[in-house]
Amino acid sequence: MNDHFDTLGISHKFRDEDAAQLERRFHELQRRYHPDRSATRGETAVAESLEHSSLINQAYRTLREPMSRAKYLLSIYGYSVERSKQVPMDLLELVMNVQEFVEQMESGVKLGGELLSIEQDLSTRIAVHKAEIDSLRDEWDNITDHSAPGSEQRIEEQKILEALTRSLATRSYLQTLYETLAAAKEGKTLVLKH
Amino acid sequence: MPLQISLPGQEQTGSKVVGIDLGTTNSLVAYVEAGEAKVIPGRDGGLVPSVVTLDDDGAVMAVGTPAKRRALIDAGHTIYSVKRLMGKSYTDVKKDSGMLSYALVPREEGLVRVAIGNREYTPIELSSFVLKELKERAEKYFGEPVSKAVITVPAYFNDSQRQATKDAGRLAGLDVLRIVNEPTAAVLAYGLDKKKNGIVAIYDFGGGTFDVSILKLTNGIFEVLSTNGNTYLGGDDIDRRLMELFISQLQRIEPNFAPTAEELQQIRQEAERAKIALSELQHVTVDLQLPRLAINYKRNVSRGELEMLARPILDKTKQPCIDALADAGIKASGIDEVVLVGGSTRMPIVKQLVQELFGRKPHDSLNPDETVALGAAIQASVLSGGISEILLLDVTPLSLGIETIGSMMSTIISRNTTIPTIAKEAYTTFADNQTGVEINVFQGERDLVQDNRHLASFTLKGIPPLPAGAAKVEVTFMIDADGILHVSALETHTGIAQQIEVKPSYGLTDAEIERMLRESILHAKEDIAARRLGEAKTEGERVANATEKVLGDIRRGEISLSKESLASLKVDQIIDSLYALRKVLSTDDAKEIKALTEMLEEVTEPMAHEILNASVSQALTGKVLSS
Repeated sequence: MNDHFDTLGISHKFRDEDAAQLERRFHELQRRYHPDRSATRGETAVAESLEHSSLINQAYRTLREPMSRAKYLLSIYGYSVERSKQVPMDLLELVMNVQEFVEQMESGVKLGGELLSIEQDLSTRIAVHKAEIDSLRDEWDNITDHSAPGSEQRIEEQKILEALTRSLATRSYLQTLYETLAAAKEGKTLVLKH
Repeated sequence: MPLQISLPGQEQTGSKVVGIDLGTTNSLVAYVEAGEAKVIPGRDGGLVPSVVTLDDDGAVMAVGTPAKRRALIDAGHTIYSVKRLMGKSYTDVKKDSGMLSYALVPREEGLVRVAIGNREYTPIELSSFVLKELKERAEKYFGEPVSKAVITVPAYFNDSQRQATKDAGRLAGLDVLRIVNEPTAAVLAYGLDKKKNGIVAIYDFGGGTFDVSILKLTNGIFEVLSTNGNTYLGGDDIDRRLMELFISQLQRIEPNFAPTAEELQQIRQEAERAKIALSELQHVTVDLQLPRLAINYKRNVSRGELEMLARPILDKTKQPCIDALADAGIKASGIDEVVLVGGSTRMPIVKQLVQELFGRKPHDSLNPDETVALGAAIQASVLSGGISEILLLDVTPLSLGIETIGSMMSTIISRNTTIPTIAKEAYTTFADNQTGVEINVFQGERDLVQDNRHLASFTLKGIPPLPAGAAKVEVTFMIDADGILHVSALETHTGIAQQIEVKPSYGLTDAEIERMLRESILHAKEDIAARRLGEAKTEGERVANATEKVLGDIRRGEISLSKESLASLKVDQIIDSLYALRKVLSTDDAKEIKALTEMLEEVTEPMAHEILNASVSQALTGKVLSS
């Protein structure tokens, strides 16, 4: 079974060595397989090229954007960022604090310094995870002979992918908290305006 | 006579693929010859007004310029701006029906219909008459049958509107190889010879629709990044504001003034003329002669006045531009060129607005009327294996989704996804032995399905009777390169393809199209006769009206002729011929009408001559003389 990396003929990495490679491959393949190329070759040829061209489009759409590419790569190796999204234990306290603040803001309490410090805390943590994700991706990309998706992975591969899944899940969770807080703040200014 | 041998690879008779711009106001057909796209001309230039006259029994009397003329004397049978009705219901368009000079059928559900004489028509059939005219024009030009075409649509057209356009092509006897988005077609024409690379924005403001598209050009790949627009916004709306202004002023003179359909047409065409002239001039004189009221309404309209009326309409083009940029992930400053397309972009105020929006002077040297048709011709050449170095990668303009619990829209294909694209959804049964599932498909960006456009209901049939939840049906939604949805289904346990029954909400079923196709073949002969009659009647009325006007002017002394010249005119003979023509004009005898029209023209020739000599030619030029 071909995955999106196979479809576009690129290796199973988070980033391409040549940033323009992905788009170039996409264009080359569409030049060959787009339905416009088979319009004169009968219905079967058109139907096949529709399917093929759709797959190329889907692959390019998924791999072009770093976040969806990371999630996709993890998924074909059997890791799900979505499924790892329970509240991480070390964030429990932070989560409860944010919830409390949001409730206070919703009931009209004006928050000052403590809000600023929790926002600061969130930003710092997000930045830490971002750095961790970056270095884990590099670590993976530096491996020269990856196990194929679907086959058993080596211990050092497993370690990277597990850590990356956790870190992505946590960062996504932190991001949500940050946005919830921001939304509550917006809501408050709206309330004050009335 | 030598034998005709066609070798493989050699161009065969009837293999030409043309590009068609089916516009709200005007349509064109174009073709690529020796690597160059050209508009196929008719007797009166390249533009065919998208106007059709039908008789009471459904035969086509006139299409294009003759029909536009006919609108002034037979408005109820003459249909224009039909593109605005494509894929719409009566409810969608009834607010504008007061300004139409033809009648819509007031039925709420399904595709809107137009009532003409004893029959009702879908916009699909009405569009097919214009397409047929273009097809014939191309056939006359090539001297061989033409059966394949690429037709353009506004980029923001939804699935129903695209399907409607494709069906109209089918009814016209055309195999529609591709539906292409107008702004994308325009970029093909713009970028083909320049071999440009970079980001281009197209601002396409036509007679009835507005589109904005952002494209990335890379060595012959034309990749659409995003598109946005409004399929019910165009130059027509500006004409309408002008019409409202004229009518309200006429009502100040004549409080009970309610325009007849013909008068409405006259006002409409005068409004359009004034608007177009004001792109060049600062002032224009509007001249409406309404014989019924004995009013000769003359008024000066300034460009500033027009711009004030147009501004609120033009302002509605701003948000789609902002949204398109956001979806493309590009700032206005990242655009390398802004290209203007569509007749309405001739207005200086539009150029100014585009400049404000994008912060740069737009590229306006393309012919805004022809560019889209030329691009369609280029795409036609690409599809038929002619031009091979370019490739278009377009997107679907609207998100596609299905109805889920709580009437929520569950998006399965997002807007601006590159097409073709496929999405698969798994369905199961919720009752024991359930053998059918209904899927409601919508297009739009809102959360609740009722705020989006219902495209169709798909009913899956013949699911094997199993306990609830045991049958699993995988439904594949594919949007093809035309931007048109196809749905197929597979029961995953048995691997059996499932039957799907499609009920389009604002379109026609395949069976209806087939029926219309059969009817149109049956009607072909009647159409030719009706068209001959239509042309004869239009011409006859024109000559008769012009003659009457001149006679009246002479009688009232508005045209003064010397006694000698008056005597030489044989006025009695003119009046006799006029009377005879009038009498036969109410019959359906095309031959007789033609003969008597020619006779009247003959006997009035000395009169035209005398008047010219008397150098008061104004009243006759362009009327009797031009015929």
